[in-house]
Amino acid sequence: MDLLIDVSTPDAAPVLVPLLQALHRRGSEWAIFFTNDGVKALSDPQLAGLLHLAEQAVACEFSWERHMGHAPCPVTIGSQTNHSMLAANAARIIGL
Amino acid sequence: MSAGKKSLLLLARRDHTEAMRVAAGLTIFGHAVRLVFMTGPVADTAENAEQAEMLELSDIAPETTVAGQDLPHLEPGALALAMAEADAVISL
Repeated sequence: MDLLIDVSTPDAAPVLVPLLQALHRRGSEWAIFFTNDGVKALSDPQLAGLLHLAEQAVACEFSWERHMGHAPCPVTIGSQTNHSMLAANAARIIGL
Repeated sequence: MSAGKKSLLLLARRDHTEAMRVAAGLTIFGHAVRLVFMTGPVADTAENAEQAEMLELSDIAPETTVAGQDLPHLEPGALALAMAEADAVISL
């Protein structure tokens, strides 16, 4: 996998949307992990609509429950264990 | 940077508690994790105490850029070196 994107800020969507579109155009393989109040970025419908392009899209369960309560999550619910595994599988890591 | 076990530098800027949780979690797959607290002292809370125990269990010895704390202090030059040596820098 080329890239892991860590999302830990709630206002990441305006940056993520064009970034993910560009990654798709160039044929990159990427995964994305949402943690802390970064899970709030998943409320953006345009962002949520792009996440099927990810090799894996995971939200930290602890963070989701803390910031989004019982709302349905549009991506896989996971844990920091998933984050550690994704970091191992990624050639590069960036944070937003 | 290649796939596999990595040398990771976590900069704890917005949320010290979350940074400790993420740092401890990253060690699960064998990554070497260095955690640096920034922007202010770590709050004396029960949640932070719990996360500090997780850091100990994960063999992470946190450092800080904030002067006067009871932790190893990183000067700007040392922080720059840590950033240059890491496979990835994650800011939380």
